[in-house]
Amino acid sequence: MATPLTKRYENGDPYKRLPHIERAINSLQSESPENLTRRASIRETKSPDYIQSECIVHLIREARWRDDEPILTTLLPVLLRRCESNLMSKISKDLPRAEEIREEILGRFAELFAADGIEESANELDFFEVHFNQAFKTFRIDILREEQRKATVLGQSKIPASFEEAGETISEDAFFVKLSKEFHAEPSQERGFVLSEIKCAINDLPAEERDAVVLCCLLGYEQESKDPTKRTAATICGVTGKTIYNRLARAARRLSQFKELIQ
Amino acid sequence: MTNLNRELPSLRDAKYHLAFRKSPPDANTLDEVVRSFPQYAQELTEFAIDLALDSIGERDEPEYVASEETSFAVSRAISRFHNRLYLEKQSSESSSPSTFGPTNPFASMRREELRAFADSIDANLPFVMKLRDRQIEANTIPEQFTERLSEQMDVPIELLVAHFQAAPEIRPTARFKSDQKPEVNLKQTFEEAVRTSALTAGQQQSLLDL
Repeated sequence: MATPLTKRYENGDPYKRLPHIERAINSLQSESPENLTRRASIRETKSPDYIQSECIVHLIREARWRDDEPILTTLLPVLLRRCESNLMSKISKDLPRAEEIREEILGRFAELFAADGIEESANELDFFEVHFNQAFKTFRIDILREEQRKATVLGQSKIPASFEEAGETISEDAFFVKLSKEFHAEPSQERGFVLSEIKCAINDLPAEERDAVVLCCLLGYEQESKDPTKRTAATICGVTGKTIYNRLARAARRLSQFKELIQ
Repeated sequence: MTNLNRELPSLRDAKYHLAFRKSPPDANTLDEVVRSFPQYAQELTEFAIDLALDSIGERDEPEYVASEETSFAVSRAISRFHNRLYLEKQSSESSSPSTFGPTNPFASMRREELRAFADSIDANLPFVMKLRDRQIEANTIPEQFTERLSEQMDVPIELLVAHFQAAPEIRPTARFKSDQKPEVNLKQTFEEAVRTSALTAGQQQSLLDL
């Protein structure tokens, strides 16, 4: 039986693996090393013998605790190759130092296994046994942000304060209502292309405008509120509602090329 | 019920909590998580922005498919794993051998906490130390006793069972007359442990009656 996870939700309840993962781990624990090696090499995700990443994480952790070098040698590269393919698609080659950042993420992920159960990183891998993709996404975004922060050129995305409060009055509300709907609609192939273009364009916005767009259009925060206790885009960014409005207006103009493409 | 094994969450843990709650997150989810971790409000908000941007245009991320060949980046990552493993093993040899293997649910308890815990189960410190150091044969420990421990410590019963089944350990703080650290291979039965831990007759009886 798989060892229970020790990470806990905020309310103190322990995290648990999904039942099908728990069952798969139990069955994999009795597999011969030869069969495990064969199954780990299967790349067809629909195959009944395909081993899900959550299970591979568990098997690697167990092997590392037992000092089971052959299993480690078999499974760790498989998992890392899966992660690498995700990084290739998620970290665009157009990003400065893309290759170096991918390598850093992959290396630090591998190190999690070496430091498993030890002090500060204790049992972080529990999250990867609960929902691998979500956990790896979190890990990737976290390190990417850290790497980008290191590389940020000061002043690159700053906007002069005088321009901040320049009193732009063009309403772009309708555009952002449409944009918000587009973000939350069911994905389709044709919409996917448009969204990926918009995503790149939002990423390229100055940081203040990007944050305003994401807070209001993706997360659904109000620009401001009369209730002083309520978190809004304005309170989060530490500016007035008017400033948020202006940032959105400028962002809308920069994104105006997409007006025709969104419904 | 006491909760002796709960650790303070790190910022990274808080981010996992947020991502696992809802991806992409929304304002309500983010506000709830920020209320749980107010010390990380800014970092969590920045992370939520990144997470929301990353999730544009996708609902369920497909299963990752491994590339066929092991690339240079994967080889480098494997090297980093081995280098780090070597360092961790080296440092564990000079500090704690208990860091490898299933989590020891008693590990975070200091001496006073162990003593208080012993009182709460009507036992004493030497007996609880045997439980901590896995010196009792797992299959001789009464199920009812393990259940009581699980409830008292607020840890899953399976974690306790896994702990008891692991090899016995010597605490890093233990002192030895010999130059070499003694090996610990022998475990006592539950009854032997009860009878050789200086428990009172009443305590012994109540434990053996389980």
